[in-house]
Amino acid sequence: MRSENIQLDHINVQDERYRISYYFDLEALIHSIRRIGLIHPPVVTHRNGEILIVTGWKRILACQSLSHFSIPCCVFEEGNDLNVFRLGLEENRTFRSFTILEKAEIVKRLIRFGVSEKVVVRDYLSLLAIPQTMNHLDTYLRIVSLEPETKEFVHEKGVGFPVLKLLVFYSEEERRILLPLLRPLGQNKQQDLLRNLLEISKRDGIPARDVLGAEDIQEISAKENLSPLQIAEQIRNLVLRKRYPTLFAWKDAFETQKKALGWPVDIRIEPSPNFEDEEFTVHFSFKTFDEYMERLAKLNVFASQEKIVPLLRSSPDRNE
Amino acid sequence: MNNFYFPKKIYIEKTSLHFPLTEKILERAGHIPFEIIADKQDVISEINMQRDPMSIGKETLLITQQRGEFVKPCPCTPGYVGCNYFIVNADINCPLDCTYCILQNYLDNPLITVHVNTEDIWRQMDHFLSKHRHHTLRIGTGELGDSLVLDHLTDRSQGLIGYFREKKNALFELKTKTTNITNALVCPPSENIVFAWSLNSEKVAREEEKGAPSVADRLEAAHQAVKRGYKVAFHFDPIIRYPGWEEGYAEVVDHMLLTIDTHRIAWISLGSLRFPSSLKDVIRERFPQSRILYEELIRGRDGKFRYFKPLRIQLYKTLIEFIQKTRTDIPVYFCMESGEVWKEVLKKEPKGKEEVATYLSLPFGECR
Repeated sequence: MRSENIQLDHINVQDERYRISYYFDLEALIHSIRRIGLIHPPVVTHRNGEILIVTGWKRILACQSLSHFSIPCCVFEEGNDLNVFRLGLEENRTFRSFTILEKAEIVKRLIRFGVSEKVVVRDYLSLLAIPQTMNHLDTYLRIVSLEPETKEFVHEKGVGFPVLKLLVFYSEEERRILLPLLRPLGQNKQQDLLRNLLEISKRDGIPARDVLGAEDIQEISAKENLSPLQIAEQIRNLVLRKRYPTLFAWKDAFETQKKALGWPVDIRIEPSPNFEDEEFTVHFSFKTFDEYMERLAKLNVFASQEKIVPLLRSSPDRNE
Repeated sequence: MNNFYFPKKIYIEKTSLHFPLTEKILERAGHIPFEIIADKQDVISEINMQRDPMSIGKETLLITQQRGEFVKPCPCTPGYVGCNYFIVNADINCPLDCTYCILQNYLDNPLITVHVNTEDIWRQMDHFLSKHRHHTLRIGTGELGDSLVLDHLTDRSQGLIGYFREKKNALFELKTKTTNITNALVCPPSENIVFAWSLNSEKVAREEEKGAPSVADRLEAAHQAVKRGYKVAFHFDPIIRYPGWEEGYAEVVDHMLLTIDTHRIAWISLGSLRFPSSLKDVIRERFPQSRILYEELIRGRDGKFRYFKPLRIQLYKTLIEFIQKTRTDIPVYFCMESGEVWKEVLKKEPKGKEEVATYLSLPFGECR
């Protein structure tokens, strides 16, 4: 490999065969180059009289936008695309970890350069900190096929693998409907919404877009007084209810019974998670001794069987 | 009845080559190609890196030795009532391909694995039974594999029945979904040997138990076992909800009660669908057409997915009602259920797994 100062307009930025990074923020790098210059030269190679970028897309684009005339490069002369790509991979790997989208691009390119799926799983996935299974390879190949709009969202929100693993099960059209709902939510809630929606769709044998197109969901989407976060939260909750109708009927029955009995609002009573145990939790807080006595007095109203048992045995059947 | 399993390839660990069971398997396997290997781990890793290693593993038989303990307590599941069952891991994994099977996720080794160091089973078992000589122990082989699915290759059942018939403090259960009973029924019956079948509705068996015989065939095999003089047991596990499940299970219970002399039923266990969250992805990938994941499954005390409790209670009450229309004195128990469910459905709450074990082994008092 030799060092060479190369004119920026001689570099072919149309040929992206070795490119793995598409979604990045150039501003910080531009600022850094403007302040202290380029520290680490990109790697380029020659193909049919053209100069192609092996590593350093960001650096080259940053220098272009700074209107630099030329850039110092390392020139790697090698005729085999796979060997060139492997060099770039190793070079990047020593400096940084890859994003999920970059890993997906790497996997796709390895296959494009003739590496068999089996060899990708055996020799490359562990280098990328991906479990060595075909299922993981398949998921990354689905990720790389996502449309740019979704990839942009993944980049922007730093979407993790558990969410992406679900997102790839949806059609492009469905993802387009889903993105505005996912955008304001945190990753756990994104995962929750995607999983429940998918499961309703499978359970009912209808496409997810039809689940999302239901009148009650559309009504929430159309509410102009709600923020995007409020809309997303309400739809997530509605989807959750649709996924677990019996569980929510029980929860509702419990709340109805609480109200009917006049359970004090400042004392929380909760059944066990998912009503799995027969245990209930009562929780209250207080600041002073008087408040403490007042809460106890309120609880004391429920110290008889007739008062408390209906609540402990609340079920949708009993309310019918 | 003749739909026996044969692998497409056999791997034999070099150190397991000269065991009598290895020779028997190779003789019965006929022209199936085999390969002698130095280390099974190489083959396991190779298969695990392929697409759908479970399916490839099911076509591949590994002959090796159990280097650890053959006998282990059934791990049951935290937070639910166990039954003090012990398992003998003679053969591991199963060529049947049931959608819900926990082995898809539980085992690192996807190959159908036969442990040929049989003498170690007897040695370890002698020690184990002698250590617990004052208790009746319930022991079986059908936890990490089907007890009979390889029997035409291994004659495993004959060795086990021959061993356990002499052990009066053991109740030995062979648990299967197959009809592969010819070898086993050669053995004269013994009161402490029970043949058990996993049952389900015909619809579930057809759609979710790939490779397994129909429920009608299983019941016919059970009938043969009873005719031979054996006691039988049935495991409705996993009971699965689907539109029309009541009719489906009513049909199979009726069929069971009509086909089998109910006085020869040692016990019936009920367990509803449950699985760790990690199995969800496996099922979704391997059985995309299956809908079993999409009923109301919540996280239980053990973190596993299981039906919301009122739905489980409904399943159990319905099945028990079907069973008790004919007989009320067949011991029924739950697999991995909570004390609350026991109390609600069976009107008794066992204080612990020992109490369940005693309840199930009491009718066998005379064999102690």
